[in-house]
Amino acid sequence: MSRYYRSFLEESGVAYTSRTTAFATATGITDTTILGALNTFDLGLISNSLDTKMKAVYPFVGGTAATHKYNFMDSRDLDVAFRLTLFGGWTHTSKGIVGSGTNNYANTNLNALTHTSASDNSFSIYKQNNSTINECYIRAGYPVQSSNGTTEIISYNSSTYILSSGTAEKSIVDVSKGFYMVNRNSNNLSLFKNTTKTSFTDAFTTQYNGNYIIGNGTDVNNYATNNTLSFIHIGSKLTDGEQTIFYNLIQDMQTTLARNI
Amino acid sequence: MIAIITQQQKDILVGKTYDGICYFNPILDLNDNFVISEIEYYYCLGLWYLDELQTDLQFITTLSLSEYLPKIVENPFV
Repeated sequence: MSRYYRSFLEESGVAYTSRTTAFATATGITDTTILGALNTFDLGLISNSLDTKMKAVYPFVGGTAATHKYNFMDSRDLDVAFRLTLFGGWTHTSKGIVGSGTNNYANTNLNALTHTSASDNSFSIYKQNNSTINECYIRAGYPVQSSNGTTEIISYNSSTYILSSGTAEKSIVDVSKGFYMVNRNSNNLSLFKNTTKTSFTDAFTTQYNGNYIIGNGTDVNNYATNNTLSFIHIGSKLTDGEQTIFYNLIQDMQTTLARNI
Repeated sequence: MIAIITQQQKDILVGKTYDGICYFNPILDLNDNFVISEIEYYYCLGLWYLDELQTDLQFITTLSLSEYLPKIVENPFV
């Protein structure tokens, strides 16, 4: 840690978690509102034993590509830390990362087969806008030409779909802004909109040997999002109770950052 | 909006970043033209005004923007 950041963090008088401190150092963020929001979020993860279930958390704070690329759970500037590699037209604002709707995507460098379990996984997005185009927010297994069998959250034909590892799509009719989360526990598949759960039975199969990708669907770039994404996570399965706690922690963070839906 | 580029220009852009972090991502449009987004275009234009645009990327300043014509979206559920 540089002398400047050690001094800054000490003088701020706040006991930040080691993760918040590491994230501040990596990103160069000194805004105490942002760091406080992240720290409260992290303390909530820790006290509810959710931190061990998170593989990657992208809080999209700081308003630049240089700050948005970092994984909060491991903020080393390395692919093995699941740092985002950004492609195409993205803009970066205080509300998050904004797609151009043309050629944008982000590679998480987190391999679905290697780093997640087909029978035990979860991922989520927090989007600022209603969906007005066909767009994919997060997808496991890239590049894969054929979508069928890939797990993803996608807006298509005015519905929000999980295209999961089973043979049929699972969907809800809701393209509004807010928080969406997929949770898989064996053959039980759930889609949460905020904390409202829709359950499906869906036999799981092997994960695709490809990375999670954010903001686009396939390698022909025909599902580029034009939404503003304020939060994304990839991790292990959560119980329904944990999902509610997790949502509340995320919502509290967005509220502190004045970008809550 | 997008800017249409040639195959040769596409090859120049692949593997390069436009802001030091985000990589160019030329894609094919409905008519199989390679295109880049207006975000990539405007970022480079801004660098050019500052005399900070790399020589091999200067061609971007000569491009013009047009409406994006995406490829037909395939049904992901077939």
